[in-house]
Amino acid sequence: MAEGATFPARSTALGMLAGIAAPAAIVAALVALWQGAKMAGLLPITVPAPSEIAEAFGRSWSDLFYHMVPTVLSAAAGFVLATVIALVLGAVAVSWRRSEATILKLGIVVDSIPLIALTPILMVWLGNGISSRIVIATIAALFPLLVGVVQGFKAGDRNVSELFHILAASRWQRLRKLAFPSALPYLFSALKIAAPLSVLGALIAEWVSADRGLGIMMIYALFSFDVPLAWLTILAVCFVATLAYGLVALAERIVLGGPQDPIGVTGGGHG
Amino acid sequence: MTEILIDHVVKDFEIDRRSVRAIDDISLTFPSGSFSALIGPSGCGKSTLLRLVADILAPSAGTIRVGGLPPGEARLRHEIGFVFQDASLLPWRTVLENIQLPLEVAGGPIGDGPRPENLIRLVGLSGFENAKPAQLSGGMQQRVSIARALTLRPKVLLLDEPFGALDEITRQRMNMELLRIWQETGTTAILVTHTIGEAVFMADRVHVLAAHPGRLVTSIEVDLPRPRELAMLQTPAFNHFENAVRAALFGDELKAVSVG
Repeated sequence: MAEGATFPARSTALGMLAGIAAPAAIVAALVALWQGAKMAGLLPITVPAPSEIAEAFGRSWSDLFYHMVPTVLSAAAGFVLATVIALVLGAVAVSWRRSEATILKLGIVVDSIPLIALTPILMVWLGNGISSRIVIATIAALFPLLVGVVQGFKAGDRNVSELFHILAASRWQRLRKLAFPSALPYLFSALKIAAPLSVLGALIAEWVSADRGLGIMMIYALFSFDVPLAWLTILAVCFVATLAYGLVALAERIVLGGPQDPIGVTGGGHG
Repeated sequence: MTEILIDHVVKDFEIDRRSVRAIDDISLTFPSGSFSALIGPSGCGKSTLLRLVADILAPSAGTIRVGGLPPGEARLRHEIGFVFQDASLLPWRTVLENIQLPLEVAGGPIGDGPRPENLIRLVGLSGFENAKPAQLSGGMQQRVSIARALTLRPKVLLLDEPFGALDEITRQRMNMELLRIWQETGTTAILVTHTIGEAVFMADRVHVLAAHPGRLVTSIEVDLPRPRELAMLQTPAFNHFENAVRAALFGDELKAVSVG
């Protein structure tokens, strides 16, 4: 994790620039190749040229942002909700060891229900308002978070755990001063996986039923066979998911500040 | 005052549904304010014994008293300080914050507990208050760990091979400092070690244990003057005590090799 942070401070800015420039150049090259292939007639009708997508953006950008807002909102709300639920369940799982297996099994069961099958049922049950879309985004993001939190909470070193016992620490102190800080590196790894998943959850919910959202915009575009617009919505979803990942990665840098010992504890390792 | 009594203590562990005896009927007395060493091969239960005194483990039979109290009660009164083999610091906390941890957990100083700033001076870490553990050497990390163990002014200091991971030179220095700290704080100290020289140099009394099951072989009074000094390592008296411990540790094996 965070291998780049071992660079000396002076070259960090340069390194970051290089880190952006190289992928940008590759993307630019691929887009140019794509455009060329389309103009040479090598691509089927279902694949528009990048210029056609850009044109679709030109004529529909206000629609795009209109539909992007509820998707972002339900994904963000689902993400936050999933994080809170995972933290609470994880805290219960590590505070009462016997509950751990049950909680994780429950998580696996929920995760193994195909979301695309669950969504219509939840829509019938909860109505097709934003609350059901938030619930689906939550379910989509929950499992990796739960696994990350439980693993992180258990990452504390045995000696430190004994130390907290000797100090007669309460369950709450143990969670707040030991389990939670040692779990942070694991939590952030899970958050980075979960953020795009919550976007996916919101999207699936909108496919099934919504009057506003990138999902329903995508369906409309497909049904009206507006291929460039369909591709535009796909790119917009990619953008939102990548942005979600990027924001979590940024938060990780700010909170952890640099390379962290993932074991959570220093020491000679002669335990 | 804070005498530690171990009376016919037995400890069994359950391993693969089989009961394994780690400690077999050990009785020991650690006088108040004394420095004792527990030495023996691995598997002799010396670390287990220390964890029984600290109430990390419970004995299967027998009784333990720390200053007249059961270990659990002594622990809740914050009378026990424990130093682990590896420093076991919280890497996200600075030196000062690591030393303050017991204060935070206990909700403030116990009686006239020492101030963390003074502890940092006591263990020779002035100027490193805001360093993170990863920035410190192994010896310095262990100093932090010792300061942390002293934060709540414990009456008992339990040391589980605290310098086992350090090189010989650093170790000898740390031992000198540990003796100075022990004398300044007046705690009852128990040191677990597997180094004969260290046990003799540090302790008033060396308890020699044997393994499988862990049991007491003998206790050797180390009648060397205090404060102990490095020069003592070269005296015949020191050698005499070292040989006594060695004889207790190896017993007949030693005799078999000795040729006229």
